[in-house]
Amino acid sequence: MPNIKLQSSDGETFEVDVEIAKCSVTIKTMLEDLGMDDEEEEVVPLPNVNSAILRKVIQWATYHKDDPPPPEDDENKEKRTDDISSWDADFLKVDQGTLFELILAANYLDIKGLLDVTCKTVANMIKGKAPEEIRKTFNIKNDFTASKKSRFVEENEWCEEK
Amino acid sequence: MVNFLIETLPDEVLEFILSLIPPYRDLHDCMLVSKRWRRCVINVVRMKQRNLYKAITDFNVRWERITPADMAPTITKRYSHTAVFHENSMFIFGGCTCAMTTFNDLWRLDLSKRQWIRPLTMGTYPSPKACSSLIKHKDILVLFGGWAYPPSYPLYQSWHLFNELHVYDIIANRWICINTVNTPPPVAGHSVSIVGNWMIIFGGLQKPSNAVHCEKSNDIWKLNLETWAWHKQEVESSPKPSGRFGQTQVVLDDENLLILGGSAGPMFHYCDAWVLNMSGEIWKWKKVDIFGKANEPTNIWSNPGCKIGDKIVVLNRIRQTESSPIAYYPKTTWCVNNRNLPDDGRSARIDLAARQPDKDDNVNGKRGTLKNFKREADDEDELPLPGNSNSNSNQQPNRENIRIHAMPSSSGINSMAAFNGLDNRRAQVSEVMREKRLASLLKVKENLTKGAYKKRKKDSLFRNISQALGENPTATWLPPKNLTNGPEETILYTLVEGKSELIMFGGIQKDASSLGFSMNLSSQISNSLHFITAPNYGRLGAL
Repeated sequence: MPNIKLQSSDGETFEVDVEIAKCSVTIKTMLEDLGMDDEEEEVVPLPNVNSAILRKVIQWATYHKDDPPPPEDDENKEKRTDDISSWDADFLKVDQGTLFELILAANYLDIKGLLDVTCKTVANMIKGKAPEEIRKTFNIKNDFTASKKSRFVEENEWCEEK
Repeated sequence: MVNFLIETLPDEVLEFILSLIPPYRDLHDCMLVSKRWRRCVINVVRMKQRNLYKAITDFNVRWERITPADMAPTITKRYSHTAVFHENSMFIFGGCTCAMTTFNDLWRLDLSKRQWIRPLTMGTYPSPKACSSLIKHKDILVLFGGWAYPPSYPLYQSWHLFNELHVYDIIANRWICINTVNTPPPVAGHSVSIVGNWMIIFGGLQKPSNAVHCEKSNDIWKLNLETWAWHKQEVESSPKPSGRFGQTQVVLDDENLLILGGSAGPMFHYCDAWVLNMSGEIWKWKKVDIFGKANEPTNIWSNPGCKIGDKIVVLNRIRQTESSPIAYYPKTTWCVNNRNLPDDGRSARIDLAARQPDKDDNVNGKRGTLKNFKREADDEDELPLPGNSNSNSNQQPNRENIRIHAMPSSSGINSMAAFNGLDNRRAQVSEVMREKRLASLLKVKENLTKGAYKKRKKDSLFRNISQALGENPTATWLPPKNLTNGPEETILYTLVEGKSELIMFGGIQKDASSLGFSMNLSSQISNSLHFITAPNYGRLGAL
């Protein structure tokens, strides 16, 4: 099977099976648009992804290469947050920084499966927490003024467009 | 290495994450985290609402089913219960099962975790009953009316209806029985809405004080939720909708209510709609002109409707034709100009003539088959039937006949015959029931010979009511569209609007065209939950 070279932002190149690389819609489009499909040994630059993350992404994609493609609009599959496979769960036992970098990479590279599973992981970290705990977990600054905050707490009526 | 924070994620990614969080308390808490999160949550909620609305308009909804096995503790199977949505929960009260049991338990479904919780309530419990009305007002739930199986002794009791009023204080977790002034007669199967500080009920099966029998009422009573005093509302004497029970009632605005459908017995099912104008001392009814009648569902009285935006959603079964299952959707259009009536491009949509004769009792003899039942009555009398004997079957209110007559027994037949002489009214009632019972007997026989018990899928019907406030109110049934994944045909469930989803619970699974057939009815009563949501339209952006 032909290989393709992916180059991270910090100059490292990774040689990857073309089929695996094509799980990224961005890369797939690039290859098709630039007619690089059958060329050997072309290098695809990925300036938004550093090598550590790219390595992980390739690892994920390699493991999942035989997954059936998800249906286009997931109509009958529920968006649940509790169906992350154990391999994925282990794979994502990383620090927050890496997790968010993976999200950004999956977003940039347009890898639906990886984006789904990483976002679900974050959603699970958010669920069930009070606002203060959420802030602490993710190091978010509370930029509400005291009065606004109390107003929101009482706010039960939230943006229903009826 | 740069420390990547969640703040580095672009808004659309954050919104995607937030969309995975249940749209109840958890999401509300996210609003309080920071200004940016608040903005994103608002976007997500708006998007979800819009998507649900779009899904409904396009008939492109996603069904999600949660069976009892997935949840523990689990609420008991039931139908004709009542449900209401409040903040992050759906409350369920009462209902009944097949074995002459009515409930008075209150259950709460936590919509974030999708788990049933049984609050251990204190105070004065309401009597066990079904077909009561439960509605939310601020932080209380108001429960009124209802019906219970008559006690077996003394025999031949007439239907047992209630006019007790209970209030459930959600915060204090307490039932309170309220002694009201000028209480209406006992009623069940009525419909209810809250407008301002008034609870307005309409219709139902009513038992006026001296009567032995219940009658179908078209009275309007209103209850002042501060003084707890009832008033019987005066309306202009005509036009008026006929007496009925099991109708759907929705609030259009502060001065208008809409009622839809309902039933006045096994042969009188209504598909009409009326707008009640509440301005002034004397209220007025206006009948709604309905377009798109070809798309009408057969069975609105036992399929409650739910208002979403400017549409009412009614579930009904798919009519199966050779080509493909078809769903019927009601629709009304908001504008006065009658724009966008449904596009009728689908050729295989409805072909009423080609359908198999529909032996549904509810169909008002449309198919002309009801008469046949009577003729064959004598043959069917001796048919041995499986199932429980139900000697009080003739006591049940009409709307339950469909179920009860699933198991007529020979003792049932005899006791019914004894009634025929008593008084005119009773004879009439029992006549009707006899017909129904015989109808169901015939069906049983058919089914036994056919060997097949067809389960039809449920589908949604949507009905736009936007135009219902004009001088000549109109409403249109939306044309059907293919849909799969609905649950099996069910009636007497509850359909409640949550946050960007509709929640359907309970009910009896039955194929409306084989009313009588069941060996073990309890297997057909459901305690599954079905959620109707919008499909995910895209990865990001239109979530």
